[in-house]
Parts: sequence; C-alpha cells; structure tokens
Amino acid sequence: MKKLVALLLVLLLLFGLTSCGKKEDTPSGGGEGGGEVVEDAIIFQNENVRKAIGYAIDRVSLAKSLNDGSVAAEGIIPFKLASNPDTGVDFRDDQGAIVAYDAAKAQEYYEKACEELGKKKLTINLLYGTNEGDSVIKAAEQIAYYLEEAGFEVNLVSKQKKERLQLMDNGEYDVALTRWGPDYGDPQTYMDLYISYNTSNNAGRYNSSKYDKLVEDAEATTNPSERWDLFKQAEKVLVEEDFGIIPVFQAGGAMIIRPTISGIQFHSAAVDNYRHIVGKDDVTLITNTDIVYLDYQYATDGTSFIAETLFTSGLTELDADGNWQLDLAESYEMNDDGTEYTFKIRDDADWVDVNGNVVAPVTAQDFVDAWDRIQSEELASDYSWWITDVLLLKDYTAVDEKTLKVTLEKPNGIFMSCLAFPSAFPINKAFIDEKGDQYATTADTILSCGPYILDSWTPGYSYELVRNGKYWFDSDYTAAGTAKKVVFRVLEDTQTALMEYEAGNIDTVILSGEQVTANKDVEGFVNRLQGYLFYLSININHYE
Amino acid sequence: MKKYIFKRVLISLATLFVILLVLFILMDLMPGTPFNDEKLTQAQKDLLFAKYGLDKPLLTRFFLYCKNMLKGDLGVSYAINKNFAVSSMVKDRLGISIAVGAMAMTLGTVLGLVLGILAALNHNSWIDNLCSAISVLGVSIPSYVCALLLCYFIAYKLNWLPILYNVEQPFISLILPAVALSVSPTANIARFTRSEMIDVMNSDYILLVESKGVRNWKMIISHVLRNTLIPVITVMGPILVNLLTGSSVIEKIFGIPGIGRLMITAIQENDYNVTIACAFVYCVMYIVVMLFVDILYGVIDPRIRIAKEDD
Repeated sequence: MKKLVALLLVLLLLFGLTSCGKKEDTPSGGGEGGGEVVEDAIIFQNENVRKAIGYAIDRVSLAKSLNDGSVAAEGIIPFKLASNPDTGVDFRDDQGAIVAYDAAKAQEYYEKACEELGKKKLTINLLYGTNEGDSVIKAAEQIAYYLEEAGFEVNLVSKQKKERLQLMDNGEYDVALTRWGPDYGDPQTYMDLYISYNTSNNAGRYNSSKYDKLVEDAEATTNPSERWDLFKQAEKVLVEEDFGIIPVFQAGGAMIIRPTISGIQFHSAAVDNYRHIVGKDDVTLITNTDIVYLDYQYATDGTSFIAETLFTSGLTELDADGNWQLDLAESYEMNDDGTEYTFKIRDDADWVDVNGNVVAPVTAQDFVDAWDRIQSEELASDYSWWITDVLLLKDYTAVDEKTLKVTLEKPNGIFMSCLAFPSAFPINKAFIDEKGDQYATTADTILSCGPYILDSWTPGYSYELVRNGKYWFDSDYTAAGTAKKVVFRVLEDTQTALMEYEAGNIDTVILSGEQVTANKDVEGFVNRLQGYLFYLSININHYE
Repeated sequence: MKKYIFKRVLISLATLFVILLVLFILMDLMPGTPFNDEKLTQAQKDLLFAKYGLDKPLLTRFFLYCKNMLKGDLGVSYAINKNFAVSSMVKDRLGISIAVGAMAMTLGTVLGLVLGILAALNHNSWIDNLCSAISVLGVSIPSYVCALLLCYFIAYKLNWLPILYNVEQPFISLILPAVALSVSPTANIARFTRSEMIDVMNSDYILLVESKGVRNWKMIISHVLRNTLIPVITVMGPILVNLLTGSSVIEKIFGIPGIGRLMITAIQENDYNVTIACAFVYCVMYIVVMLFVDILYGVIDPRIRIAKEDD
C-alpha cells in the first residue's frame, strides 16, 4: 500500500513539473511573477522610446563607478579595435562620440513617446546576466536608475547567462544588457551583427535597409578607404540615427603583474599573447576560468585560445603593437591585387609530442587539412566561418611539402593578422586520426608546434607549459631570457589569490570590486582595456 | 537482518532509478541549452543538438543514458571541458572532495563529541556554558568567513600552512579547508550530543545503574554514550553526505578542483550530463549513507534490531 502511495506521489510530482514547464513556454501579458514576460513590446518600435533610453544613460559616471578600468562607450565599435587604413587613426577617434548623455532630452523624448503611444507610464523589463561578472550586475542596476530618472518604470530581470541568451533568441525580452567580444580587428566583427537577416545575433531584429546596404557595400568593395567610410556611415545609422542598439561601456580589467616580470601582451581585438614573458624562469599566472577545449579548432573562449597560442603556431603572430610578424611561414609572396599569397613554411617547423620529441614536420598540407577540418560539418566548429568570412579564402592548395598557395575572394587588409588566430593554425591529421575521440583531451593527446609544449593539464586546477626546444625561435628565446615554464593556476576567489600573490607564490592576480581601489597604487597594477563592448539590445521587432 | 538489508538495498535501487528519471525531466525543463553562446549561429546549434543526440525524445535519451550508465559511461561534457568523459571528470573531483570531507568529518565528530560530552557531564557549570558558546558560534559563523580568517592568520600571517590547495602536498594543503569545513558539524554534533546525553543521564535506567553502584567511566561508556549515540548518528548521516559531496564555497576559496564547484558550474553552464552525474552521485551517497546508518542502528540498539527482524 505504502509503495502505491509513493508511486502516486512521484507521478503527481512529475506531472506537476511538466505542466509548470509548459506554462513558462508561452509568453503572456502582465508583469508580475514571470519577469521575462514581454510587456507592450510594441513600444520599442517607437523611435522616441529608444531615444529616451539612449540619452538617459550617463555612461561616463557609470564606467567610472565600475572601477575596473571600464570606459564609457562612444559608439558600438570599441576603442583600439581597428585603425584607418590611410591615416592609422583609431576608428573611435576617427568617428568621434556618436552617443550622448542628456537627461533633459531623455525626459523630453520620454514624454513625447508617452503621448504618441497614449500611455501614462512606460515600463521596461531590463534583462541581464547574474553570472557574467560583478560589473554587469552593477551596470544593470545603474542603467535601471538612469532609466527611472528619465521617467520609465524599470523591472530588473536577472537570469543566468545561458537563459538570458535563450530568452533573447526567442525574442522574450524588452531590453537586455549584452556584450560582444570582437573576433578580429575590423569594424565588420560588429557591423555584421545587426544586418536584418542575421537572426543569430540581431536579437531585437533591428531592420534598416539603409544599414544593410551600407554594410553589404562595405564588405563588397575592394577599396580599403571606401570600406572604412562605409562602416563609419553604417555605425552612425545604427547608433546615432536609429538608436537600434544603445552602447554603454567597454570592459576593463584590473590586475597586478609582479613588477619583475614583463612581456605579457594584451590585445583588445585579438588573443592576448603570453609567449614572450621575461624576468623569471618559472612563472605562475592566475586564470579565473579553465581551458574548455584543447582542440583549437573547436574552442571558443579566451582562456583556451591563450593557452593554445602558446603551444601551437600559425603562419603569423601578433607583436606587442598588434602588427603581424611571420611565424611558421619563413617568407611569402603576394600578387599585385592582393588576392593570391604563396607561403614558404619553415624547414625547421615541426610537430612535437608531450615529451619534446619531433613527430613530423609541419607541412603545407597540414594547413590545408586544418582549414578543411574546421569547416567540416562533422566537427561543428563555432569558428568555421573564420576561413570563409574573415580570411576570405576561396581556394588553398599545398604546392609541395613546404609551399602553400592560397587565393582570396578579394583583397583583405586583415588577412595576415587573422592568420595569427588559433582557428587558422595547422593540424596534424595523422595524429588526430590515430587518437580519434581521445584527441585533445589530455596533454599527451595533443601535438605542439608553438614556442611551448603543454606539459600537463589537471582540469579545474592548473595547466603547465614548458618551452619547446624544437621551436624555430627557441635559441632567441633563450637569449632573451624568456620564461622556461608558464603555469596557469585556476582560481576563482580573488581574496585568496591576492594573499597568495603577496606571499610571493604567484605572479599575477586579477582584482575585483574594492580590491581595485585598495591596490591602485601597488607597483605592477595594470588597468587594461578589453575588447568587450557592453550595450543594450532593444527588442524592436522580435515578437509574435 | 539479512532479509531486512536485502529489502532495503532493493528499495534504494528503485529510488535511484526514479531519481534519475526526475533528474532527466528537470534537466529538460531547465531554461536554455548548453549551446546558448553568442558566437554560435542557429545552424551550428542544430548541428550540435544532432551531434549529441539531444534532438531525440526525452524517454529515448533516458533509456540510452541508463544503458550507457550500466557500462560506466556517463556521457560527455558539453560546456565545461567539451567532449570530456563525465565519468573521469566526476571521478577525479569526487576523490578530492571525499578526502577533504572525510578529514572534516573526522575532526568534526571527535571535537563535537568531546565538547558535547564535556558539556553534559558538567551540566550547568562554566564548562557547559563555554561549550555551548562555542557551539552557537560554530553554527552561526559561515564557513567562508572561517576559511578566510584561517587563510589570513594561519597561512598568510603565520605562514604555517599553504594558502591554496596544492596537488603535490595534498594532505598539508587540505588541512585548512578541512578545519573550515568542520566548524559547523562540530557545533551541530556538540549541541546534539549534549542535549541527548543530559536526557539519557536523567532517565530511570541510568538512575538504576547508578543505584547498583556502577560508577563513572564504565557507566558513561557502556550505558550513557551508547544510548546517546543513536540520535547523534541520525544527524551525522546527512552531515557526512554534505561534507563528502564538496562545498562549492570552500573549494572556490582554496582553489580545490572538487565536485561541489563542478556541480555549480555545470548548472550555470547547462552542462546536462555533468549536472545529472553530480546530482546522481550526491543521491547515491545519500542513500548509501542512510542505508549504512539504518544498519548501524541495529548494531547499536537491540530494540531496533529485534523490530527489524520481525519486519
């Protein structure tokens, strides 16, 4: 009897759960309870509503109060992303600020919008992620404050990041604080996002044929200056004319680096370069996230990419100023219109196993294999488009063992620097085939062709890299006194990390919150600007 | 007794099966998917769903999972360490969590019993008050405060122990986390032992033992403690499971790659297989410990043993 009752209870529980789930799936009106509910979504089609939001936010004060090196956004393109092909001026300086804070104007537009929509009060559900860092939570609260100042009623809707993204995908949101990290140093990495038919990224379904045309033209032209100007115009249409999205701030990152070590190169629009650390033989760095995937053709996160650029190399590498230098390529030739490149791969470029033994030479075919594999449906890589959309490769062939010939769709100013990204690195197909499912799951199931070898990886704890004595540049490294061993320790807690740093056991520490103020004057304090641009995505047209 | 244990094991297995099903359904209801990533296009998400078989109906996936589970295959991670076998992820981290938990449990039990017994034996004296004060403090101080204080004074200022967990000296570097974790169980066990022991000491049969002239330690060990332990063991079961399955906060502070942290990350990342595996391991441990506690009852208390034999 008891068992029957128990069974009944379990079934009842299951039934209850299933019906709860179903309720959530159907968006309904009314604000109370379900915070993600879209309320009067139609109001965001009104331009004055969007203008009121745009003018309401005091970005300078907001960025300052985040206190981590973040700066106020002046447009959707972040600082230090790309520079003018003719003058070398940063895009942001070239364009100037196209967003502004004006509380009076915000109120004025708010009232106008109320009148036009025939409403006494306008409500915004502001969606943000709770596990996306302290700065996001702080920023969301402040944005809510500014919007309320302008007259809006604001409900903060906090969700885990994955859920936030799902809600945005479904169009079940009003306004969301979201971000985009640039994939490469060109305005296109942002401009592509808001094209009307980009349903993966344009969550609010901003729809402007004028904008679409400008971006399409920019991407079609072979003239770099014209392309630059078209992107500038496109940004103005999106941000200044249409208020299609509302840029808020560009993320910073505060940390302390032991003053005796140097050579960590930060890039806001590319992977940070840790290949040239000098000042200490055995360096221990703190990372707050672990490697997600060792297979650099499959990885998507910064932490994985940083580690991967240490143990693998591409045809080029970025230097401290963000300019490309040849790496595994010894030399290259380009035809007159810049659509054909022939690379000569170094004779001394080799694949090395975890013990430092040479397994095979790096060949032209390794690049061909890599670019085929990353685009294969079987791999389902997030970065498959790197080959076609960023590098603009039309064709690539191995002429002989060390000669690689590539043809581009059209001249591409960022081609050489984008070869320095892990998605363009070579693979050793024989090794991958041999390892099968086990490939890239441990230090001994991956090969190295970079300046370091992945010596060990204990997930959730640490990964250690040691210098690759077979790397072509290794003798120069030794001469320069480059670190022999680089250890990344995974540690989320910043307080114990700071103690560990002061005790001398680790060489970098990432700071958060009050620690930033407390350590501002400590020697080695760095406030770096990251590439992430945080903005408000407005749900203009994305609802049933 | 054998029949009783056999029956209990069967019920436990059935419970685990139901739990697994519930977990599966809950996972399906969780908002978002493992592949919510701003860098992924819809087409790629569909590809990934197909690749991992997530496009199949819930029950199909469930029975496939059960089948694989019997073979020791818990699937792969979708988001934390992509394509990693979950079984090895959980195994590695569970070991460390069990190590810290067992250390904390041993410490907590010994200290808790000592404090509780001392307090009860010296009922209403200053020792009792002191022990009670320590217990109240122990219950009310959150473990992370304790952990940070220990880190700061013992490790950072005095330099007696390492601040962070270190794989090369696991025992030494796990002392601080174990101490921090043991504070709350110590306090709980002490409070419980004290009140139970006072009850037992005031009972009629103890008065009888006393009047028969059996005195002091002999009486306390073979009569008072034995009867005190039964309820204490009941509270120790859940405490033990709690400690063995890892504390996400303590693991974060000391940089320990344990299962507590893994589970939290898995939930945040919607990493289905990892979440299910962690939750399931938690349930298995809970049920095993409760089963063990039940059997232990019988050993300690003849009344329960006889009742069970009749059952």
